[in-house]
Amino acid sequence: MRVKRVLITRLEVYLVILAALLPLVVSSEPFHHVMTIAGLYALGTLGLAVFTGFAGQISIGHSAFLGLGAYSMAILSGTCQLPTLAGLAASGLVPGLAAWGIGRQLLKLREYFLALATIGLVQIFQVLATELEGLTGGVEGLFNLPWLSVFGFQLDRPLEQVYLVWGVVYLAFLFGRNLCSSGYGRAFQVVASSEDTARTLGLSPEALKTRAFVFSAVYAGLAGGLYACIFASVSPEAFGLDMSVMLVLMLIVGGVGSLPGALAGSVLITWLDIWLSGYQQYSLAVFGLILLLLLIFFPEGIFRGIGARWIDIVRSYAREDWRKELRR
Amino acid sequence: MTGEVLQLRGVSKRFGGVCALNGIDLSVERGEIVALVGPNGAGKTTLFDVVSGLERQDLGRVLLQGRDVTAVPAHKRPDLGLARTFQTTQSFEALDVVENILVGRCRLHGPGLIRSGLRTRRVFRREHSDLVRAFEILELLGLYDKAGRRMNQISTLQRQLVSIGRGLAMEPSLLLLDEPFGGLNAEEASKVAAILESLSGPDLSLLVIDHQVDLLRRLADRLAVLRHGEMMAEGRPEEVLAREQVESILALGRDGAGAG
Repeated sequence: MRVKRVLITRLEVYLVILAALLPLVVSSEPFHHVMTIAGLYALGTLGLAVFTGFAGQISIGHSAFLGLGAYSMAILSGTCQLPTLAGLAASGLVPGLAAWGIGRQLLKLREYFLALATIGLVQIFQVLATELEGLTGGVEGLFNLPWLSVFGFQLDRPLEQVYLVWGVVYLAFLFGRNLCSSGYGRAFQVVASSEDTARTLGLSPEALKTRAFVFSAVYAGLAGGLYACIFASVSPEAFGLDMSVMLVLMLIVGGVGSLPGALAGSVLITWLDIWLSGYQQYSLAVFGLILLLLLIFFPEGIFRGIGARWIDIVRSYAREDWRKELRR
Repeated sequence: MTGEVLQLRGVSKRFGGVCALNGIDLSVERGEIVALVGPNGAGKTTLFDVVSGLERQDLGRVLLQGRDVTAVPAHKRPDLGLARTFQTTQSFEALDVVENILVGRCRLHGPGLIRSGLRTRRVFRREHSDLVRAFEILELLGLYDKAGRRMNQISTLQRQLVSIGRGLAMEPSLLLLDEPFGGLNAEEASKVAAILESLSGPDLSLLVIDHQVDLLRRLADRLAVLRHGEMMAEGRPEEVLAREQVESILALGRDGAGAG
């Protein structure tokens, strides 16, 4: 009986190589751009997948953390002219600290109340971003922000950006999966199902919920930081409630509690949104209809629905050795 | 230091106008099996809640390993060797059987979030040793070949055993069992009783709540009878059960409790 140190399967390696070749095969700039946006959403959704899917908490407010990350990046690298990598670090750090600060109080709320309170976060963020004009540029926001540059190498072409964003997404995915397949992931799930039981198992629900919240805020913040580099501008309206709802949608369509599902959901919904925007006034109606159908036919999310459960959460293959042993 | 793992001294708890526990004195010695019986609503589960810290007593003291735990929050009490199960077997349906055992070891995870995310060597060794221990426990309970099953694919007996196993995974010195025979037929219940008997030893004391007095009589070293939050009798099972008064309480309890 052995547990694997590295949780990557051969199938996953093939999939990652295929995915990595995709931007080279489909070498159109619009495709790269849309995939880049999908990647940003994927990063935000991954954080939510841990917070909602594992720790069982609801948030319709994560666009506030995306915004906070984006503004941190914009202010540091744009206004203060600091290196963009420092900006990126801050875009994870600032939302993380904010989440840590408010988490303990906020997460005393449950379910609908928590959902409502997180909507409040978006409103607070909007007001701050609009009113602190000197810092944030008010309604107009900040623009002409620098591209992300890594060691003097500027990433300004769509092809480079898609690799950058999805590279970060994949690392974030690995980190999240390691976390969720460890005792932490199980502890989150215990808290999600019963806080009193968690207590008797020696786990502090408050501490665990706060950690999951901080984790998801850092992911959202990093997505925001990358957003600021890629669009070269930030404005309050970009980080409104629609973005929060999008994140939740991607999570649900991909399958709550599935990290690969979060990625799949983000890509699917981003493309759907873009395709349908061609239909102008009907786009929302069609979008709604498709979502409805997805939820009816894949209530567990497309990822599990399609039957790829076996690539889901590592727990099954982290321990494949004992499975073999049992079969013998 | 005394040989008592658990001591309750004059513990009282009220819920509004209802007195759930009234001046309860009870102790569990190292290695002992103590059974707690009484009709429904007698305050048995409240007593467990007070000991595990989910409820705070209004009066009196609770001592674990000789230490007053009144100010110790519920999630710190397992550090003093306490583990408990719940009346309705609390299992985690999203997890499989072995993970339901592993859940008992989450608190032992020191490594922290970032280390877990990076899956450092230390985290991975922990995971490994936890898994080995979880399988040892499953073997002990005769559930080794059910390790990969989902919780809804196993029987009530197996669910009861899993919840006992989860408690064992916490490496407790005192395990509180809330109705371990609940929902089981006589044969299954005696199987669980045999396992409990084999588990108890100098390092593990058990405090058991159940309605199946006949089984508890054989299993327990001592028997305590609760009614309306008061301790009616306590002592060696034969002596306690011989008392007329106790017989009437339990008969009443059994009528009131139905099968459960």
